[in-house]
Amino acid sequence: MSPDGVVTSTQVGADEPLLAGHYPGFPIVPGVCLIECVHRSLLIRASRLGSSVELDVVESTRFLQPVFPGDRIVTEVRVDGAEELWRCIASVSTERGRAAEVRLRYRVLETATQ
Amino acid sequence: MIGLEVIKMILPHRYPMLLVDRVTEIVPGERLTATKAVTVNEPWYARCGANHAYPPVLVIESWCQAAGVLAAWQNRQPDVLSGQVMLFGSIANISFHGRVLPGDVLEHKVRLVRSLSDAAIVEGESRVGDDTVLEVDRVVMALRPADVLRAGTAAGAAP
Repeated sequence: MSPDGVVTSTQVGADEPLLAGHYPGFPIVPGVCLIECVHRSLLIRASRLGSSVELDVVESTRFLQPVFPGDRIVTEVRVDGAEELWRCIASVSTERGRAAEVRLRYRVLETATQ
Repeated sequence: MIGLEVIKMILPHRYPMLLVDRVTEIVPGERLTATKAVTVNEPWYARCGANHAYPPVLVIESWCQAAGVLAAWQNRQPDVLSGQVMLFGSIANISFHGRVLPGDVLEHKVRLVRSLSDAAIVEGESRVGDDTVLEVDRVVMALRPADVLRAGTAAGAAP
């Protein structure tokens, strides 16, 4: 974690239960799960800063290539933080390259007193 | 009312990722209303702790599946798990206006803005009772051959 960003990684389980239904016979990580990777990265940042935030707007998302079971997902988020809202620009990648570009906006509900 | 037996002929999603329960109105090529009842025994609640809000991205997923029913209605495949599959192309401005909790019934409204041979552009909103919980400015859904996904290479889109 840096002052204006956060990087996280996660491994997609080869037997991740939700992939049984997405889709039977050809498991692919749902696009919204890539957005969730960005969202959770932001929640980790918020929690470390002692802030409370709420997802306000998914400003834009582009899906570039599919993510499969066993892939390692790396999420890099840059945050332009103001007092009342955070704007974040993120890229989600696997070993094969960039899988998604995501822009999210958050309402800041509470900030830790300095 | 259109139930799951028909929805499952149109969407390839299955448990636990099938997030549409019913279609209550459809005007093919124009608009659709669908519902999804949220319950606390969905698998995402296994490790949720004290926060029982339905994950926001799953509200989006559920809305997009409803949109998928409308987009694919006139182009149904004999086998939903082969041929063409529906993928997310892109999202522009989806805003959240409130938490969704177990016991809530999401009502998704989808309008088809434009239909192309390999894509559909949709907009709409989701309500719980009289409250709008989600507003969707624009989602582009792309139709791609299922084979592209099996190959494990860049498909130009992800689900």
